[in-house]
Amino acid sequence: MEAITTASVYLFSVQGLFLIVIGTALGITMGAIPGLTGAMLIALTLPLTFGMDPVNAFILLISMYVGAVSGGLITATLLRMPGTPASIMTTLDGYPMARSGKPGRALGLGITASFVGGCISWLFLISLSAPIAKYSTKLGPFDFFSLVLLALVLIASIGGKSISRSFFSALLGVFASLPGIDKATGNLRLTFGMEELNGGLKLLPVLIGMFAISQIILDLCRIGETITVIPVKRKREMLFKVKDWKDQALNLIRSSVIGTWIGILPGIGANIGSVTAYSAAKSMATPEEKEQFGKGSEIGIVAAESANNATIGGSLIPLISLGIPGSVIDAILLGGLLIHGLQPGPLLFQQNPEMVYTIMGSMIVANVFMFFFMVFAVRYLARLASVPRSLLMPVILVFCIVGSFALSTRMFDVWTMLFFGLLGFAFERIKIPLAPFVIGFILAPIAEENLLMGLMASNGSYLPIIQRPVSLIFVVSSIVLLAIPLYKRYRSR
Amino acid sequence: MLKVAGHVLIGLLILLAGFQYSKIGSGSGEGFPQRPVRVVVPFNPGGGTDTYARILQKAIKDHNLMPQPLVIVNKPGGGATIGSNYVKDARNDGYTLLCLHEALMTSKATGQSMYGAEAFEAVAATGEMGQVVLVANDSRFATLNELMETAKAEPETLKFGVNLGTPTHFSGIQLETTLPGARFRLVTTGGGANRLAALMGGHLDAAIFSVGELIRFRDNGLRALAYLGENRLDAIPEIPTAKELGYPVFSSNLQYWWLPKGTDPEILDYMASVLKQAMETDYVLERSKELEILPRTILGDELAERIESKTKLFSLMKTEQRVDLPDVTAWTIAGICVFGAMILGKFVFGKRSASEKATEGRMRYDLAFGTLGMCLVYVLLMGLGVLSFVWATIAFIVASGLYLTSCDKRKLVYVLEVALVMSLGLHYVFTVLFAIQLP
Repeated sequence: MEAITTASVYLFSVQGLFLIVIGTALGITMGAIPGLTGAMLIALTLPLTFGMDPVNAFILLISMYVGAVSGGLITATLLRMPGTPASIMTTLDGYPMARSGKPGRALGLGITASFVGGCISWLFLISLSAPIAKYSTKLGPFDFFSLVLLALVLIASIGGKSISRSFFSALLGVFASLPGIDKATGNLRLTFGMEELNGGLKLLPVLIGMFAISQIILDLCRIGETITVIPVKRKREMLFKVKDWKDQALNLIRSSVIGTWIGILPGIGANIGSVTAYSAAKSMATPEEKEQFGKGSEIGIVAAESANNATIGGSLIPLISLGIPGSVIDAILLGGLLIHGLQPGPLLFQQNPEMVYTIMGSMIVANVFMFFFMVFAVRYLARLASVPRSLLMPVILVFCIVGSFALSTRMFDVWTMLFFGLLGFAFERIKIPLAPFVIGFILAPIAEENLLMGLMASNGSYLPIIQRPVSLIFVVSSIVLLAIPLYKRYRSR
Repeated sequence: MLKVAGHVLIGLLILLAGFQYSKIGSGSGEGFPQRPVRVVVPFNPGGGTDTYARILQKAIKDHNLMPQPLVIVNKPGGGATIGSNYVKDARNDGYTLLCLHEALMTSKATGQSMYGAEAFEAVAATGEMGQVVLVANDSRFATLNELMETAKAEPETLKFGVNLGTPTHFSGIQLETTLPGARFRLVTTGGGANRLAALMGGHLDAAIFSVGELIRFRDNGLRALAYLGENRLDAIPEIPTAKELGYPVFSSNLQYWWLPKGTDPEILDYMASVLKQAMETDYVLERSKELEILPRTILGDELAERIESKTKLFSLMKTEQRVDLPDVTAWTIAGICVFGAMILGKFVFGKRSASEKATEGRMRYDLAFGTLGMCLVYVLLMGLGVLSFVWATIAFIVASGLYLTSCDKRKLVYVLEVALVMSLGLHYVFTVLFAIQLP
């Protein structure tokens, strides 16, 4: 109880509210500019929070997360360019509806759906995290190892188009996590005599490189493309009417629950959540409604946008209760918690309950603020897409460089970032997905540490992996997930 | 009208930032120190060492013990070798200190680093942290005696949590040597919070924690069997020492302050006296009590003696691997090769669609790689120390901005404004607001 009070004091102080406003607004802005993503914004903000109180830092970061996932719908609807990958499904119906003369309606559906999705998943977050955290001390090292295995299989089999490419990417990520001190022997490995590599490759330079630099290179390649924005005039048509609530209630709840569930699954996040909810909504629609999909279906917009916001609450659950990130952004947040000296997982509830309640509280407050900010500012936000790239890109490059340098004040991290930027660009060109790389990079140390810990405790026996019930469930699920697409491919030949 | 106002506002901001910028670097005086002294903490902010270094920093500042402030620089990673290596190679002018506990000695003993205490000048050791042996509340072991006898009767069955290659690992081995025949199954568990979770979940039989961790975690259902110190601790008087129980293990850790080899002995003595005075301030005494750290200061011959005996103790211990563990590196490389071959196969035998080729033509690779090339030059200039951050950033933004706008004169004003705001603004935000140094 005391912790809830402390968290509320932080949240509702002038400073706390200011951080929520700034964070959400910046998140929406970044989300609304195609090519700038939430992952990029949060990765670049993290070094700035080193000097802040951890609670304030997380108020800011969580607000950015909420804003970034929501902001993408603006450009998706008005430009047919998803501002963030999470809004890809919104382009399918939002843009046709906007083209047909109802841009305000399309945006309104998306904004309200985002808000409801966020609220429903928040309810899951506050009710599920504590029980899961309490139970999770019973999970042994092998259970965690199998969970990470499941995460890698999930992102490879569901997240990408080609399983072999996804696994290749994930394994390269694992490889990138290896340099540094071998956890088993305490000796150095794969450092090639470079003393800067003793601590391994740092999360932030790799992430900034992979997501920001590679994206900048892509954007610069496309700098000449002209952008036309559909103007939005009336504000009133943006709000839901009673009839809308009645029509969309079931869809909202179903899509939000799907989004939350996809969010909870480790490794996959907002984009997959909205794809899944969209297809579920489509398959459950009546034939007349089905006809509308892809041509401006209200159901489609609501499903996609409520689900992608619902993944936020969902993916925060494994992050704070198990210390396993539910998506790429959560992986950056995990890094942030560690940098601030906090170990997410079962003990966060006992050691730093105020942090847990701050994360939960800022999510809902930011969600409410996001709703009002989007309704009032959406007309101006759409114009952001036409900010001249020629001015924006050098500025973001400088931010990337300073952000990587500030991490531990050394040039090595900047070179690392540039290297991974080029690698990420090369990945994009030869169609190897980036997300598995990052998930592999982040989860591999967790998997390795738990495997070694388990083996040391079992005196070298691997049997507990299939003897422990929880671990067995994860292993069987992984095998099933791998087998299904392979079987499908076999059948189709 | 609005536009003019915008330009004026930006101009004012630049002036303000420039004013702040000019203030940095001023200040002079006689003797050491003439500028801020940097303290490298080889761990993340918020950790034990960082917290302690910041307590002393605050005491020194509040009591005006030094004419210049201490600045804490975090260089985490590599089992503290990144930070220690940085100070080892720093100029021995006294302006770069390392704050690191006995991990400096243990990392040499385990082979993590090629150097130990001998590569530095030890200034002082401050604040003693004791260690305890803990079990879960419902453990079958009531005393240390029972634990040790079981370890002897059934060697290598009791799961004992340590953090490999760190002082806790050495304490575990030291405990084994006090009863010939006793062997634990040493399990690496990472940091204190992970070890606690493993102990509570029943994945460990016993583990070593610091006294500070015991106090923090005590309410979570843990029991201390013994304190690994000379005498019982005031904060936990009910817990016997291992020595009383017949297992003479003394394992405590202090935060040592190191300077690069060859630093002027006068500077060494000066820093030692500043640290000693700081340790005696009320603030440090009070915070030490809160964190369960003994406010002890070791200087001079006693310090040299302690370092020598500890180095000897650590080097004698065998930290060999006791269980066969998989070669993760080899498995990963094998996996990459398999999937790489699969993709390569598809690429060679597959076909590329026409639409892929169509998008190819519109891409402006020249702009992207031209800008990236400028960026490389920019980083190189800063990395080699040719230009400072502010000048390099102005040059980079102006150059790339002009390049990307194809030298559009109407946009020149904007480019210049952005360049000045970014360079001065970022410099101000990082160095003044967040106290992070820029190249």
